Amino acid sequence: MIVRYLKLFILLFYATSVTAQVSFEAIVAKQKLGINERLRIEFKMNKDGDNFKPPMFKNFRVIAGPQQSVTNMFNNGKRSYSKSYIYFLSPLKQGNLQIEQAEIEIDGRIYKSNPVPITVTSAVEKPLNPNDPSYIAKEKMHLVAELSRSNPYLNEPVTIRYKLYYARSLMLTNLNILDSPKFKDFWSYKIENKRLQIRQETYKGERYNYVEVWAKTILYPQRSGKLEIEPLSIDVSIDVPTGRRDFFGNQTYTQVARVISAGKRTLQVKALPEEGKPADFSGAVGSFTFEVNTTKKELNASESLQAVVKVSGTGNLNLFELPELETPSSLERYEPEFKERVNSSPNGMKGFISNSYTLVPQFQGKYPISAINFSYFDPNLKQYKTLQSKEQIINVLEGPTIGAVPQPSNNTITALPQGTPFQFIKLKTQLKPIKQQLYFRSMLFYMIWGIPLGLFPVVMFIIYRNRRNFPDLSQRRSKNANRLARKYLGTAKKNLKNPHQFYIALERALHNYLKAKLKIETTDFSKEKIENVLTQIGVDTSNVSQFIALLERCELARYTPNSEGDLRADYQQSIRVIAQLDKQF
Amino acid sequence: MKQFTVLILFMYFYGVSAQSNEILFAQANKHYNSGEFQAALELYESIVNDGLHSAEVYFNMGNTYYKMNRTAPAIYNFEKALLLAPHDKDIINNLAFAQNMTVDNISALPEDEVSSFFNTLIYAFTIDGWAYIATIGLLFFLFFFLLYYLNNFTSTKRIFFGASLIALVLGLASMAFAYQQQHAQKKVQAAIIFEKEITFRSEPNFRSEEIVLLHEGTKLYIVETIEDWAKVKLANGTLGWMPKEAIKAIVF
Repeated sequence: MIVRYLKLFILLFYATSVTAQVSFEAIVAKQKLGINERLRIEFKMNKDGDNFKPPMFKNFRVIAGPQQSVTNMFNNGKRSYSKSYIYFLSPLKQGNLQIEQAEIEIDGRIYKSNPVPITVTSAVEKPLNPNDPSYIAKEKMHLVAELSRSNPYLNEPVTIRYKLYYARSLMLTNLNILDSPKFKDFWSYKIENKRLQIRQETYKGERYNYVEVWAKTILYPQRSGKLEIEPLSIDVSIDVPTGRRDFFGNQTYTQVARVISAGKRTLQVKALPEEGKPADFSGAVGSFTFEVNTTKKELNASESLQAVVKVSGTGNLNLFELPELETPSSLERYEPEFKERVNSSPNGMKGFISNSYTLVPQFQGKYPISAINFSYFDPNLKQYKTLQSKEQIINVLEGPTIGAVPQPSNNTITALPQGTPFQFIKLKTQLKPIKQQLYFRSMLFYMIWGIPLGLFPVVMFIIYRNRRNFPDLSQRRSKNANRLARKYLGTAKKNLKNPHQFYIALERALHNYLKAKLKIETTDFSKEKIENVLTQIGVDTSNVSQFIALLERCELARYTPNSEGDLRADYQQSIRVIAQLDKQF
Repeated sequence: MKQFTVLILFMYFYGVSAQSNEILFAQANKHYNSGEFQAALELYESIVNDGLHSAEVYFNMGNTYYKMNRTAPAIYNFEKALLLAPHDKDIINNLAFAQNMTVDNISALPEDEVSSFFNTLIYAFTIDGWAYIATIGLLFFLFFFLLYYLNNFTSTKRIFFGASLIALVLGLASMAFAYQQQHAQKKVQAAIIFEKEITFRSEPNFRSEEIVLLHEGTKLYIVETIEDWAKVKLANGTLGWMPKEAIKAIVF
């Protein structure tokens, strides 16, 4: 039993060692064809054989064949040989068909070819001849738009390049751009291909030559969502081998022109995550460094310095705004000068952008330049990053101080600082408790206001009462006398223009006065009697004589109507006398 | 008697603490001069924490913060010093230096002449200054009025009456000024922004519109507060809201 297996094993081993040298295979031009197309099948062996036995070709009709071809080649002294039997077949029905094995006898051994599965589809529009140059031009040439990534973040660079693949047997003779995409919704940077360079690459399992056509473009998606890229169309002229040879045995070509376009491509652009988005994010995507530098740290007033806000790195460098410099409002600042040095590479833009501010301090003092933030999104780490610049202090050493208006210099040799410099601390102090109650509206305040104001009416009342009880006689009398004199002498005063009437009124008035004061009728009294009465009461004699003199003058005027008296003087005199008398009653 | 002892004791301790704090003040000044600002600051703070203060303490603290490049606390302390000594030239000068460091430039509303005159008049003296003047005016009024009442001669009477009237007007006006000043201080509380950057909003929540971005050291006035928000008025008259913790009211 074991011996039998061993024999079989040895036999197999032997057989494989032999087949390694001999090959016999079935080669078809294509495995998928329409029912109205033809199929070429070639049974190829590398050693001469006899008794070729073709397969049955069930479901196929043999249109031509078998054709025999033998090639014998010597290459570097080595011989290679091949012999083929070629059939042209036409399928009889649709479906998955199979071409069975063929047999050949080589060196007394029988070899079988591999069975070939064939798919027959419904009729194709134009039965294609695989040797037709335009067919070749169509089948063996592809324009492909290649994207570096198909699912980028907003503002993450995507490179698009167009590759024209063509079979190695073809020759590219001319190339013309008909319609180039516009890339709306993208910020794009084009890198033109300077010259066509033929390279080789495998495309869909076959080796192809390719050239990069039109331009390499860096795209920065400006909108999230599905973005379409319009196709590129080119007009290509190629030389296709006809399969025939000319008189000298060279391959002949025919030129075929074809318009080919790359298909539409869509990009699924991811929006930047909302989570953790810094408030000051201005759309920078990439990988950056950030710095704020000043050219000077110390200077004099009205000299200038530069403050540079700079972002460098890779990313959408000219698609975002630089953060604004923050300086004290007292620092004169001019519009920044924008500088950029950006190189575009297929991986995105690389370089720096900067804003250079010119600052001119006007006064001495310190000017802090605040720390500012710059935020960007790093698509590789998929997160936001915030960089902060350092706070910087600019010291202005000399110059006018705030408040002092800069004076036009008047050739003074020693430049004294204008205004007051920053003052030193105070060395003496009088400390007071913080929680000191205000005097205003305090208890004390109200008391000082309230008590005198409350007492005041009381004091006034007391004074008033005292005055009533103990009046000051002389003062009150003089007041009364004046009042009385006016009362009695009223009619006399009215008649100042008429002497006669005046003296009558005056005389009556004097008598009335005595009547009122002495409570006696004095009209019939003689002057002597009046004098007596008055002296009895104790009136001063001079006053009495003045009173009498007045009366006498009145009488005189009454009896001598034309006499000219000094009316005004007499009137005044009588007032005075009455007042004097009144005091002495 | 007992109260009297307490008073004596209080006076004694107050005197002692004031004295020891004046020594602290001198030490702090020494630290300042040798550039040890943090140490100086701690000493000044300890004086204030002891319940004592003066314009000079706040002025020196302001100076120290200025030297340490801390804008907001420098301005805050200068403003406090100004409250205690409103006409001190050094304080006004150094405050201007500190204000030079601020980012915001809010131009104050131009005052009309009448209210500007009125303001300078009202702030010519402190509240208590006006209160003292009012008291003196009242006492003079009473004194002159009594003289007027008691006097008999017309000419002197006239003089005393006039003097008493003047004293009365002076007293009542001073009282009105004191009241007005106190009212103004209570109504709008001045404050300083301490946060580096703060958004000035139209409503007291974070969803509302941002009016402007303000920076450290800017002076503004608190009109009212609600929860964690303060309604503030800028020097140019703009009203808006900001978180309460971003600002510090200038009060003792």
